[in-house]
Amino acid sequence: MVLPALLVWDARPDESLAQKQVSTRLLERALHFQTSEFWAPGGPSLCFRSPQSVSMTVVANEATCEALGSQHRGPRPSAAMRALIDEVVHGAIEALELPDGAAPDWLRQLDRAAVGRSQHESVRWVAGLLELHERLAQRRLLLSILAELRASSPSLRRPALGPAADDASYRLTWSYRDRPELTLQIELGPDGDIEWFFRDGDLAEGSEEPLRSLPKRLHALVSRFS
Amino acid sequence: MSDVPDEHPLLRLPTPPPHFVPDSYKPTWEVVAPSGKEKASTPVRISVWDETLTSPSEAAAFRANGGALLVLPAESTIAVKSAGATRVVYEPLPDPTQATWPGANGHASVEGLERANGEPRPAWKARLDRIAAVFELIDRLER
Repeated sequence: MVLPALLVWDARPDESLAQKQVSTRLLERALHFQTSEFWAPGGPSLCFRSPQSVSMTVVANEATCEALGSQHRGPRPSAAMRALIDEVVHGAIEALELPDGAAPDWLRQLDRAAVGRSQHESVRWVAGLLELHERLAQRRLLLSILAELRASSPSLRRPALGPAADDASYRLTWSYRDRPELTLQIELGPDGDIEWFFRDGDLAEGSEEPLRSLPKRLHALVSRFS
Repeated sequence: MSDVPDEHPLLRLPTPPPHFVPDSYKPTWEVVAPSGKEKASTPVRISVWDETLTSPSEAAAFRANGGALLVLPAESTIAVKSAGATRVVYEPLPDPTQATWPGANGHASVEGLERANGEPRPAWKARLDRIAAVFELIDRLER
């Protein structure tokens, strides 16, 4: 309910005394508030299962937004909010992609179903990594494999993440509409066995039997998904 | 069993849905791979729906377990067959008590997806992968 007040203020230059009074009254209500949805124009939204506290400070032409254990500035309240959202998403991804990384506390309150349907890939990626973090048996090895492949292909696109039909194995899949002939999949069994599959048009290769380590060949293949 | 007309669009609702799907994701072989139960039937068939007779939510109602489903439409039956499936036929639902449910008459099956004797595993996956690419990823259906 308060965020729209911020946005009204955001778009309204203080040209008259009356406008300044309106702005002041809006800001007094908007400086400290609670919200279950963090959003700013042009950026992703983050939805929570319970309201989170937000503090906004505005001094001259600079706004500071503080929430979720982070603080960010911008020329307007919406810009400060946008910077905060971008930064906490980025920070969450960095932490969740580390094989032994600990998730920031605020992630526990995230509405995963809503976040998983986000139009923004980076936000959906946070939800996917959170699901992966619950698979303790496979998380470390899967994230290590992903880090190893990114070391050789730094601009590697994000793979689809998900369990196999038996729910015991877990898959990383690179498959995109703009590369219709290409598919690469790495499957990790519950005991750490690795299977892989690659298709380029009518050519196919992959494992016939489970492997104990990642084949070097995959480094060359994965570079085609950058 | 009668064949589904070539021009009819199909729906496939595989489970489980991925935990994360990147932008412009293309469905892959596993969405048309026969399940353990489907492999045991003769001939091996996977379940689909004729979208002219069954809506996605009607199709989802036939699933016993709750949870999310992927909704994968294919533009036409002929596209699925051209990609490698041998036949698409109407098939009565295994549970006769569901025969009067809305959309029940749209249940159909795709044949020709099992791994042939001696077929290398990567070759089989590649064959299914070409069929899966005919399906579009539209959305998750929450139930």
